[in-house]
Amino acid sequence: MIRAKSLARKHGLIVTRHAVLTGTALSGLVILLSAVLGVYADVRSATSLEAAGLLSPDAVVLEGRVGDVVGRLEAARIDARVLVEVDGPKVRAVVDVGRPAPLPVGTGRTFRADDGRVALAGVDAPTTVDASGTWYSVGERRYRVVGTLGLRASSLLADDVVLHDPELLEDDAVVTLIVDGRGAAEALGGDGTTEIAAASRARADARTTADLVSPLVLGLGRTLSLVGAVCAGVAAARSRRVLDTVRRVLGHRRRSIVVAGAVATSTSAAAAGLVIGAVVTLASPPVHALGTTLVTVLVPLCLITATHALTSTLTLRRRP
Amino acid sequence: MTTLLDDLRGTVLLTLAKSVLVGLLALLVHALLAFSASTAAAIDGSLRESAGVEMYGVVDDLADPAAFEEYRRSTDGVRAVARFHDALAADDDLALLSVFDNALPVQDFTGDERFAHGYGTGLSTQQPYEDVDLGATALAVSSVQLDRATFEFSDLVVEDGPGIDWDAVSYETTEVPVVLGADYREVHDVGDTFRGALYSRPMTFRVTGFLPASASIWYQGELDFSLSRHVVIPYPERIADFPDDEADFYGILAFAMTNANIGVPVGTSEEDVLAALEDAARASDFPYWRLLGVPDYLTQFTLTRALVTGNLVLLGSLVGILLLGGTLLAVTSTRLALRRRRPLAAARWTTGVPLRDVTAGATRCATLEHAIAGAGFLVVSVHLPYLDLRATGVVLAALVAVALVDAWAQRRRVRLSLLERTTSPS
Repeated sequence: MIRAKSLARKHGLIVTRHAVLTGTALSGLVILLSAVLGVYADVRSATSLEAAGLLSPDAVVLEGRVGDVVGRLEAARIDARVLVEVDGPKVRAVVDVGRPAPLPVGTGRTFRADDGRVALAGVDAPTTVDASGTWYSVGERRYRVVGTLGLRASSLLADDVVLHDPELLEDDAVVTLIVDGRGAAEALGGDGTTEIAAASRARADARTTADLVSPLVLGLGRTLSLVGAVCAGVAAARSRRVLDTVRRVLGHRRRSIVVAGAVATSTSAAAAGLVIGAVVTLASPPVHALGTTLVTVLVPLCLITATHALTSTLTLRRRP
Repeated sequence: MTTLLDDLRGTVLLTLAKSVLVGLLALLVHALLAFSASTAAAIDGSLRESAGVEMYGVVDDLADPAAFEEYRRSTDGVRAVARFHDALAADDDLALLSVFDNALPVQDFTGDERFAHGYGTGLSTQQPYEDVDLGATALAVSSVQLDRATFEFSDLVVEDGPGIDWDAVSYETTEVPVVLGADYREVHDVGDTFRGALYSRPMTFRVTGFLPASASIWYQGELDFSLSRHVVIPYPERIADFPDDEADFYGILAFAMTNANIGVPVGTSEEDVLAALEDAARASDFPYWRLLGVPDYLTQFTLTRALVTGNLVLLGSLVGILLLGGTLLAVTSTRLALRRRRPLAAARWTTGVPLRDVTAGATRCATLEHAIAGAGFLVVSVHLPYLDLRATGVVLAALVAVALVDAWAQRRRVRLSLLERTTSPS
């Protein structure tokens, strides 16, 4: 190892600090793009929900028992949200199945699976404050308010309240409920016993081409990020080509050379990813979950490392 | 051709990667321009500043059902309500917005249950039934009846067909023109006629056009009440001169049209609105009215306008970041390619090829990169779900400009690198 480096250094062929910094910057840039796209996707879908009274174009209305409907959605592995009016159209209970689009939350946090009776309330909703926190009451039931509904204080959801109540699942009453999720209507309509009707309300998004442009920009951005990750991986492998070749000539095993290069690249990219992930987590609104940041950082990181390994392997197969 | 292949030797992947990057960036700019245009159209159209009005509601004050029924059955009473409506509609200082979503029984309806009144709202929907007024099988479909002021205030446009000739709208003619929501395209064509019963009176309706899929109006507290599955029936502009033997029908019509919204410019006092209504009531001899405040409209209007603008800012920020990142990646791939092409350029120059001819290789490569990007952009952009020829033209012009700058920069870089090598002390 030392011999290879000193030999390469002697001939001016060592991996320079400049090359390492450039590679890291390139990886960081790609990871940043990916993370920003993740934040945009969440904020955009939350904005869209806020503009349409928490409903997406996939929302359907039907009669049924909440527990039954949730069970069927879970069996079909559909990401969906079930909404039931509790006290008029402005106060609704929700049950999330899988990972539906995040609710538009301005401050605080959104619901967690292990929550008890909690609520998200718009700024104008009638809540009460005491020493133990902020509360919203429906009859005898009290719900702890854990977040503000609406991305901003002056929101179309200022009067709305969304409740999370695990007991809803055990309620045997047949109620009118809304199921919102891609493929949910198909998953529930199979046996012909459930009347399903598309929610017919128009949305503020329909006033522009937001519904068409936004997914396209996300797709283009993700493609850009993936192409960038491949470029970063190739560039990182190329910056180590001479050193890798010298090592190969000196008898190092091909696999160990590839692994060493991939580890070096992924370490520097991971360092960049860590910083970017931390900044994005701190700077992003509550609608953007930590898990999403993790995915958006790890995907390009893995792609950069894999591309580096593949390029190095192909390079080392050639004759030096 | 051979020279171009020589130029590309060893940099084919980098050239393609850069072309893909530039093509993606062009599509992103195109998307942003198209979105800006649609946002501007919304802000200047249905969300224009002049639509941000103070909204009031005017309703009849005949709370007792018996008194209401008696008044509605009296020809003089109905004519008074109709005159009250006409006086308010003629007042230029306010906009009387009459709209009502009464179901319309349609004879032998050929569409499916999605058009039935109440469908999709959680209400039970009716099945086809024997309608007494039509004397035939009918389905009660979703319908709104609205006046010209509401149609124009909501910035509704008719996409196909001649649309409604508002000056000629009358319920005493043989056919009443209607426009249909976008989903009706699969049921009717422009020019089709069908029979229906408006407020229990059989009429023949002629389809004069379709609304866009996004068509919506302010109705019952909703800024975006969708009309995609509605039959839109126009109200006549004036109704006071109805035939005496039609008092029953015009009684329903006059009350439906008078229970309306009133839009006035922001800043107009409630006293001014009350004074206008009192004048109309005095002139028409109709004292049974009440004014309601409808603050939701302005709030929803303002927030929706902010939301639409916010969407543009959000998308603009994202595209800005992507452009910055994509440009850095494209510059990096250019530098890598130039580094790989340098030995060939040096060899050519050393063997006596003039500097201008050597650097021409950079121009050829840059032209090829941007030509591939431009062709890819054109192929994809014509298949996009939204067509914006202006944005396509602007992006193509920008691509040509970028190609020229890039060719000049690459050429300069090759020349400097060659001169640097020859003048270097080593």
